[in-house]
Amino acid sequence: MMPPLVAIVDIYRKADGRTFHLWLPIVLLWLLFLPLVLLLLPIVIIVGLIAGIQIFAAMGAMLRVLNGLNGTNVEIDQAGRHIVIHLV
Amino acid sequence: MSENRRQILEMLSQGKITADEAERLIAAVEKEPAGATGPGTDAPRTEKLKYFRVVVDAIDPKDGPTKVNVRVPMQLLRAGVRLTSFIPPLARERMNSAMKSKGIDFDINQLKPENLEDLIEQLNDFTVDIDHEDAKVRVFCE
Repeated sequence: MMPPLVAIVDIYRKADGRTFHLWLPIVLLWLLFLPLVLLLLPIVIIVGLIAGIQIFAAMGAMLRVLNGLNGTNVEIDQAGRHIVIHLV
Repeated sequence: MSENRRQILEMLSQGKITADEAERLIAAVEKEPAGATGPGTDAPRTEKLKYFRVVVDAIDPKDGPTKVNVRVPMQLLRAGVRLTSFIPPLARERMNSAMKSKGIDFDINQLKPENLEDLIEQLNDFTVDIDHEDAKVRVFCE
């Protein structure tokens, strides 16, 4: 399983019947975070050793949380607008 | 008539649930394999929960009728529970005492990855219905 790569946002305006269909590439966000994670890794390892936390296991668990976001769906219908956000 | 069906119809006649909810519950009861709820049946349910759902149907004073429908994969819940095992003991104690001060008798130490599947299995029967004059909230798993 992978973290969500794309956020699909659909906005439908009932007043004029217009639909906006957006594909937001979250994968770019992960790519931006990757160098930051690599830079911070030594500091995180040291802090983990001091605090007695298994850093790699914790990171694995955090990755699973990110993976778990895959398939999240939020729908909002309000004031003539219908918004759907779907993570895939 | 089965016991479950009779209870659902009683709840409907008492006005505790709506006709739609009764229909859904009866459908769920009928779908359940025979003997699955009987005593001594430890066979796992074939239907695995996939999503945690929150449905809100409210009337916003500013924007009028509002519907919110959130579907979170159960995988996220599983991962979240696994993440709790990395909470330092001191933080766990603080969380427990904070919850106790709010009247919630819950021990975060009991939330272990090995108990995870049992916990999720129990969510099969978990439903929260809040029926307020301005909002209806339903939390359930499917």
